Amino acid sequence: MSPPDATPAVVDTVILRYFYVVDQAELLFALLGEPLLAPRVVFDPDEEAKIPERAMSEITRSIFVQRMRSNDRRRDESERALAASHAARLDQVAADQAAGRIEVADLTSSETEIFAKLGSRGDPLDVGLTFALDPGEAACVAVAVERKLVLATDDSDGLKAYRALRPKGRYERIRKLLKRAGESGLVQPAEANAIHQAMCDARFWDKGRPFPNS
Amino acid sequence: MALFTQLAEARSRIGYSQEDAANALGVSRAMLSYWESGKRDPNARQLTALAGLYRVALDVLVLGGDLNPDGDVAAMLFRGAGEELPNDAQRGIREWVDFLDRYAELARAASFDVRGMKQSPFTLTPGFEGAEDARRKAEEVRAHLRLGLGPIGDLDSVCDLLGITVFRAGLGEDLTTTISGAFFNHPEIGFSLLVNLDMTPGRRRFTIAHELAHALFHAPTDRYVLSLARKDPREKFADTFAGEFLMPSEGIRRVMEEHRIGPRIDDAADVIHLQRYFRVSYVTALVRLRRARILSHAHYDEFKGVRPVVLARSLGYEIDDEEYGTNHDAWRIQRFPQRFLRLLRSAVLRDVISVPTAANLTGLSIDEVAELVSEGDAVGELADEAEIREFEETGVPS
Repeated sequence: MSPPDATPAVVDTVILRYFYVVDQAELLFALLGEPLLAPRVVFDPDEEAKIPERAMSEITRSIFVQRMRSNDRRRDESERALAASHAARLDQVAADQAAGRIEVADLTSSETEIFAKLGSRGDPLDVGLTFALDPGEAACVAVAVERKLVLATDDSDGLKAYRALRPKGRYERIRKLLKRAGESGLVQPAEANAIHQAMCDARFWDKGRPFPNS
Repeated sequence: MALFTQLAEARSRIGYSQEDAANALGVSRAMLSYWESGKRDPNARQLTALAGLYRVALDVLVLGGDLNPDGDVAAMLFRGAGEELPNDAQRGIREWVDFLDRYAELARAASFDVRGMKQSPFTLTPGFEGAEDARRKAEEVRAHLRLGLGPIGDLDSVCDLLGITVFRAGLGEDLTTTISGAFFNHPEIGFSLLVNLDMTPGRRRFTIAHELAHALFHAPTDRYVLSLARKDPREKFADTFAGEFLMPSEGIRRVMEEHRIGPRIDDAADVIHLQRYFRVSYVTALVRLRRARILSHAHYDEFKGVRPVVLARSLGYEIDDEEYGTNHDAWRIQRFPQRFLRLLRSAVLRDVISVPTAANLTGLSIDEVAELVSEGDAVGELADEAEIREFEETGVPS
């Protein structure tokens, strides 16, 4: 299923992470269309099996951290079980990539240049950043800008850079996506709120709600 | 400058062989060689890992630029060591210096006054730097902090109170070649101590106290100090200070009297009791007790052969997992100073910095920063209700 204007979307780690940990990947595909694009720094199916943490893609690192928590004896049993469940759900990203529902984006040279500049201190592109962007975010912004795609992110710093580089470019955030899901009938508004709450329970930092009055 | 040239130069700058770098990145040496000869290009994930490993900005690595800029503080520290430091130590020192720069960057952006100590309230007069002077200075610092004669609970909190930043990094296990710690007076953050995580908990505490001596007494003359195994008078001063600071002579006497130990110790179990009481390493306790002539030379030699963890466990003491070896996973967040973590949390909550950017700034994962800024999990133990009620009865205003 494709979204209304059928422009492909490039997704960052935050979007993938939260839709997958609450088991709502199908809703994400329904909202943004298929395949979703993810730069290798967000998810790389060609990562070596025993890769050191510093070289992991962000989704693999997220799975690694959740597994570590699930084995951490300083956490109580319910926390460890939740972490194990998050890791298992994030494992599904690889299966969806293998099924062609997520496509890996390799950066072109012009995208690599933007990626490198956004990922460095001192705001070399003069887009109003105080700090270097997270590499996954920098890569997503570079791809969305150069290929004129929809940027799906929930990183306010990434959005600031994206708006500066592509002022009229379309973007999506988690709450906005869930609101659209509720308005288009993909889910009921109360369900959209419940999904959002589940994400917050998984430590998503958004303070609002898709449907504040529901 | 082409990418492949930068890659080779950045690697040699940190003293890594192709094999070292390939292992650290989880790729074959042949692949690294392809990258460095320009036959293949690393992808964005690999570029990120390379920049992180070599501690070089992504744009400098990818687009060219000076890999050895003026004011490379880490390089200055390596030179100050006076000898070649192992890769682990060099990487740890670069990590520490980067951390301090980023801490300063975040503090500026958040308009946060770090209140770091930049000038010691204590003085050390030239010519008064012997062992007895070091012991006196330790007493002076203890008195200043109103620590009395007992054990010091949390040394990090003591440093925090003084405005001294403590950061931990793995610097290697072989203390004959690497450093146990370091002190650096950062222009914005002020006094900062680096502690080698690859040591036992007791040894780490000793290192904090040792570096504290450098900070409080050597800062006027030395902007930085790297603590190597070789012992110059400055290092000996810091060692003596640390021993007395953690385990004051008068405090030892008092505990021994109250516990009816001594006046001479002839049982290794008593060394363990004192070691556990003062929360120092077994070796520190042995040396302190020998110095105070509470242990005879013969017993000192005999007790060096004791297995302290085994003996402590048999005496009913709780054994910290890390006494068997460093658990690096446990230190992923803890290695940062509490004051910095509070700033990071507040900066995210006030939208000064986003969660992913904060993760990038610290080298933590997005999951870890999200946990740091959340108000708690949907699961996990709540505070005990019965305990809340019991303590509320002591007088909580409604």
